[in-house]
Amino acid sequence: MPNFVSDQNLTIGSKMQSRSVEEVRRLAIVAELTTNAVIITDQHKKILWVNDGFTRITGFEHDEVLGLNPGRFLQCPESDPETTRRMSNAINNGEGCRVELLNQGKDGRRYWLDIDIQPLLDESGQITGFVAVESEITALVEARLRAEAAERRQRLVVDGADLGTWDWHIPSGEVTFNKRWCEMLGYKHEEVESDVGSWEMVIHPEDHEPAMNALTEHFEGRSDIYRFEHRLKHRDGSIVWVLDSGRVYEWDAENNPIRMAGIHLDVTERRLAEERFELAATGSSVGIWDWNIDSGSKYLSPRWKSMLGYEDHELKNCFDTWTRLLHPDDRERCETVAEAHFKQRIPYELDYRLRHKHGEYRWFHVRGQAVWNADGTPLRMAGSLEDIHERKSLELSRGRLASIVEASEDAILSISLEGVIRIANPSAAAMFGFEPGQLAGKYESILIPEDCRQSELNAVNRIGESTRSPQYETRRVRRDGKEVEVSIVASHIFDENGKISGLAKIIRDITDRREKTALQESHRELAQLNGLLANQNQKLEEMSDRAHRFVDDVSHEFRTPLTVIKEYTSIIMDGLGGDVSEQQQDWLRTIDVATVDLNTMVEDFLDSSKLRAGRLRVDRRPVNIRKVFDGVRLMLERKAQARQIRLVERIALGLPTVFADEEKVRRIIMNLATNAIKFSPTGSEICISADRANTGDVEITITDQGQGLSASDLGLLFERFKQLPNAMSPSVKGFGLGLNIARQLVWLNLGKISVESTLGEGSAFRFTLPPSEPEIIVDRFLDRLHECEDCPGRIGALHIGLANANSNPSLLQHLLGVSTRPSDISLLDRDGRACLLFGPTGSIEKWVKRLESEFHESDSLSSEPLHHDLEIKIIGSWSFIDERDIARSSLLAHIHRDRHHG
Amino acid sequence: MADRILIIDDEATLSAVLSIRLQATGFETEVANHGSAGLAAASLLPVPDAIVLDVRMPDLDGFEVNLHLKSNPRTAQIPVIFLSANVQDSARRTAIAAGAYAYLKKPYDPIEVIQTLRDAIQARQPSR
Repeated sequence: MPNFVSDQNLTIGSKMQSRSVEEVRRLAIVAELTTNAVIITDQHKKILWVNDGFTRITGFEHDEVLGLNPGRFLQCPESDPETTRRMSNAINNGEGCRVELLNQGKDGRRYWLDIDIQPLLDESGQITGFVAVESEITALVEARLRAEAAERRQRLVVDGADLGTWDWHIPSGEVTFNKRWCEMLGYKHEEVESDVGSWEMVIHPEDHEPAMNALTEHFEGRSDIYRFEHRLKHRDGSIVWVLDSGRVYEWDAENNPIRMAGIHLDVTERRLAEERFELAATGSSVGIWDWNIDSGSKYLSPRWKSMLGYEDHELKNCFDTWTRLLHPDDRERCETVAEAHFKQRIPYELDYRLRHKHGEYRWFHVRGQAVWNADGTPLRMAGSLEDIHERKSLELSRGRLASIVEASEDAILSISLEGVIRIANPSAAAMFGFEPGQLAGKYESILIPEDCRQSELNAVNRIGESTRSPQYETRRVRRDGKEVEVSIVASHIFDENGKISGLAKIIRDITDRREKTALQESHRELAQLNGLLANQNQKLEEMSDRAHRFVDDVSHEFRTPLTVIKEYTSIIMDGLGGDVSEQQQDWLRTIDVATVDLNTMVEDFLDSSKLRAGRLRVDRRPVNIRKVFDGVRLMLERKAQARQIRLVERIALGLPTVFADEEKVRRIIMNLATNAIKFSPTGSEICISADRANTGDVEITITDQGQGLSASDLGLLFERFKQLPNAMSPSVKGFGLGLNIARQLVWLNLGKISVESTLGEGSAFRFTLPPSEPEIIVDRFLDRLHECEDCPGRIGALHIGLANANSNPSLLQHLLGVSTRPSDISLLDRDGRACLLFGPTGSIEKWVKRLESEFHESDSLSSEPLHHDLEIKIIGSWSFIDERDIARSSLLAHIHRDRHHG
Repeated sequence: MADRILIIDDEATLSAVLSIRLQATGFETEVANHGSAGLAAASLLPVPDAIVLDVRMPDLDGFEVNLHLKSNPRTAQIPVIFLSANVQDSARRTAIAAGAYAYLKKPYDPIEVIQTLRDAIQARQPSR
């Protein structure tokens, strides 16, 4: 090949004398090595030389084509005749040319060539031949052709779709408009100058500036696409609405737009329809909305906005505008209805509230219709908005009214002029024994007893006589024939023209009311009675107080002269007034005994009064029974001596300490023994003994050798103010209070009293006292409460202490004695605190309050107020009918715990 | 020298009989028939060794008399024995709290009264 080239170089070189040998040589190498096809012909277009590139592209060998005209065998029927003609013309004229031409190869393959043909000139300028450089551009051309075909098709579509197109060279202002663009405005294609001025001349003046703004926005990259709906002037003067949209497709290096293309879509019809609708809408107060679900844009018509008090430009056309104005309470409902519409195609129609510019919410009725794509996704939704605020408000207030009527306890009837019930509320149905809804359509007369009809008529005739509707009481008959007392308010019903269209009757069942009134009346009476009772109670309390004070005063007044009598008797008997004879001494002794008896009576009387008034203070402590006996011995011995009766005392060994009020026990013994002395014959014996009973209690017995009691007398024994008839001892006097007092005092000391008696042999009075052991005391306390039949209520237990009274534990005992009832029991522990058991009680808290105030009062009344700090803790409170065992164990647990702590 | 007892009681017959009893026992007695007279007697006459005092009296009652006695240094140390027909515990407590030596009830036991007076005077002996 190099040889060949060099040979050819020489050949060519001889013909290209104007060029240096070296230059030709280089060209030859390029021609030899290039992938392009290179052909050299003579001036008659006969091939002198072809390179390897030629063979590769065409398939023809060098030797096959020598002397041939390339056009003859390379061109094919599809080769563009225009191009071939242009090419031969150029060659014939001795000119160069460059063409793109479809050729065929040796195997018939078609290929596109870019052919550059240049003449070869000699020194004199004569054409000696031609050189053609051909490069294959098949891929390129085919792509271009495809593109052209696509564009052609597109244009067909555009034209067919009524789209006007424009292609704008921005720097020059040159615009290519298509035919449709021109026709849209009533012009022929040729009549429209290809300049942006053509558009500017036809655009509606009002739309020019917004259009330019939209363009600028696009040019500055703020919008991806230019889209603007605007008006253009038709040749005939009418308005054409176009949706103009386009895009810059060529930018310069500085990002300035160079070329932009776009389309015009004639939307006049839609626009007019919309405007017509809008016009109609304005008239009927309907606003329009159109929501593009994907983009979120929402067209809101000016009317829509004005319904909410806004100018068109004040609200943005977007979905958010709507959500922002929607009443929060209505949002969920909207979403539900929309969802149902989107998914199940249930009509979108509902009432909701939107916020007016003034701030208040107004009611609107909304209808809408979505557009779905093939797979059922909603794309768009449009609809109307109607102001129904007035109607809705009315509806709501009517609804309220209706619900009042529905819910009214009174029967409410609407009756036509013919007397037919039109509406009856549920209460009416119930009142007259009908099922709800059954009354409507019936004659009202079925509800009116025969004998009430005339008066009913009279009452109805009074309607309108005054501004107040007549109210009257009458009777109505139920479906079951039973009559009810009713109170009726009747009024006219007017139609919208103000004419009377019927009657409304509100009927109240006053059988009930009468009962209620009666009930209220009796309540009032009860309250009055209560007040009266409270008053009486107070009076009774006062009277009881007075009575007690009276007894107190009387006993006091009795005592003084008694003392005088007794004391003078005593000094005479003692001989302080001179010698006394034996006879005188005897008589004086009689006076003395009588005085003592009288004094006992006075004391019994006072004690009895105290016991009855619950004023007796009981101060129970651990007591040695021997000490009690010591306290009564002297007095009893004197009494016994006076009647010459022997007194014997027996105390068993190892008796436990008892829990008792020492003074009260002394009184019991005194009373029982005095009684025994009274009824014992002279010279007999009275024995006072103390033993342990098998219950564990200490038992004190007073045994006499008197006349004894019959079985029937025993039953009457302890009855107050009863003294047994006693023929044997006419000298015995007394109110019979002694035994009774003894019995009560025993009871207060948690003991039991009993009597054994044999007529003619004597009597034995026994009473018990509990040993000072918590278990037994608590048991006795509970037993005693159980015995009293008329004590409902509860047991209470309190823990009471005085913060600053450690030095004087008896102070608490004393205060408790003053503040508590005789039946209440307090157990003192070693720390000087007390466990107070009490009952019956109602509210334990109330009791605590009372206790506190009494403590306080008692303290402030004492000569040396301690201002002690009372500490009261509730241990518990139990029903002593059902919770006795719980109470017992709780109390004992508490007491024992305290002991251990102590 | 016999111990002097001042008896203050509005019931003259009782003062008289108690006076006879006490004199028979060896006391000297002075009788005042109401509270203020008692106070006057206690301050004007030689200081008594003990006072027997009634509670219910028309002008000053026994508690008030006692209070005056206790607040006067001259008479503050005289033991006071109440003798009252008022048998209420509260009265007794009040009297003891107010510094009385004893509270005895009417009708009284003469032996008890005499013994109490002796005890009271005896109790004061060391300081005399």
